[in-house]
Amino acid sequence: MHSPVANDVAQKDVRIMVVEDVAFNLTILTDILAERGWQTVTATSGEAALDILAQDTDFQIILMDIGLPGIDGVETTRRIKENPVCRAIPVIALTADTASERERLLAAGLDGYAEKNFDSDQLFAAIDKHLFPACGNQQRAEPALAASGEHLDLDFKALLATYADEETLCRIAKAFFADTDKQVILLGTAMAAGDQAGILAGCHSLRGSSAIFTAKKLGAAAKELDALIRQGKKDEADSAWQKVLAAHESLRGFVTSRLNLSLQNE
Amino acid sequence: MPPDYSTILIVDNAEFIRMVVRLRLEGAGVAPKNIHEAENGQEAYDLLVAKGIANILCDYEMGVMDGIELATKLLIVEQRRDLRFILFSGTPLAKITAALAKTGLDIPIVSKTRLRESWTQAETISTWFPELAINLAQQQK
Repeated sequence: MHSPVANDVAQKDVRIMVVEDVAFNLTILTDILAERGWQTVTATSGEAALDILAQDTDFQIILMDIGLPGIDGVETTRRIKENPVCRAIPVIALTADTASERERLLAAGLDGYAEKNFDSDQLFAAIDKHLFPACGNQQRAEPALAASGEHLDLDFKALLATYADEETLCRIAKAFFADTDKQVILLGTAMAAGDQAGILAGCHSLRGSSAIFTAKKLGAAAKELDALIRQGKKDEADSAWQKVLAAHESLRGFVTSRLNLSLQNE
Repeated sequence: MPPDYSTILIVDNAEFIRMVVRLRLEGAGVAPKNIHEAENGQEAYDLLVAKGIANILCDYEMGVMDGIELATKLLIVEQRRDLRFILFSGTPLAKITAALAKTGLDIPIVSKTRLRESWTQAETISTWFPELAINLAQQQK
C-alpha cells in the first residue's frame, strides 16, 4: 500500500532536472523517466542548470552527470548546495565510475548516485530513496497512468482519459485481446516444448502490450516468468505460467464486464 | 517514386500496438488515409517501395525482418537518406543502443511507454518527423 507521501509524489507533477551534455543520453534518460509520467527539464551544462535554478526551483530531484564541459557536476552541485533556495533538492550523480569514486562524490555533497548504464530499475531505485524516504526506501511508484483504478489489474479511468470514449476503448480492447490471445497460445506452445527463446519472446510481447493497456498484473506475471526462465528455474516457471494464464483470463473477465463486450473467441 | 512526407508507416506485429499508434497519429492531425500499417519489416519494405512513404515508425522486435534489419536495408544498404526512421520498443534502450552501435545506424529510439501519452504536433510529431509536421501545418492553413 502506498503511504500518503508516496501517493502525493507518484503523480505527473513530479519534476526532475536532468543535467547531461550528450543529447542521446538525455533522450534515453527522459524516456525512462517518462515511463512513470514524470516531467523532465533538461540542461546540457552546469551553467545552464544553475541558470534554470535561478528562475525555477520546483524540482523533486536533480540527476547530475559528473563529466560535464565547463564547470563539472561536482562543482555545479557545490553551487546548488550553497544556495538556500535550492539546496534541499536531492542531487543524484550519474556515474560509471568505481566505488571509491562514489564515496568521493557523496563526500563532495551529492546526495546519491546511479550507474550511468540506463537501467531503468536501477535509476528508479536511486530516485525512490529520495522521493519516498518515509517508506524505508522500499516504496516504488507506479506509472502515473496506473496510479489508481477500480480494478487491481487495470486503470480503467486512465484508459478512458487516454482514448477519449468507450467506443474507441472497445476497439482497443478487442485488438488487445486478439493479439494477447495469440501471444498466450504461442507462449503455451513454447512452454510445452521448453523453447526458451520462444518463451522469452512471448513474455516480451505480453509485457509490451500489457504496459500500454495498463494491465499491471498480467505484465508483472509475464515479467516473473521471464526472470525465472532466465534463471533456469523450471518448476517455478511452470507456476508463473499459470499466473500468466490466470491474469489474462481475469483481465478478460473484467474488461468484458466493464465494457459490456463479448471478447471470447473473437 | 519520390518520397511523400505527408505519409507515415507504422510497423509492428501486434495489431493492438498499430491501432494505438494510429489513434495517436490521428489525434495529432495526420489524415487516416496517410497512415499505413505493416506487420513486419518485409511487408513494410514492399509498401515503402510501392507507395513512396517517407516516414517510418517501426518496432524493434518482429518475427520477419526486425526493425534493425529493415533500417539497415533502407538506410545503409540502399542509402535512403530521404527517409525518416524511428525505432520504438519495450526493450531496454541500452540493449537497443548496443545493437545499433554494431550496425553503424544512427536513428532515434523511442520507448513504447510513450504510446500511453497523447501526442501533439508541436511536442512529438515535429520532433520525430519534421517534414510531416510541416505538411500538417500547411493543411491547417
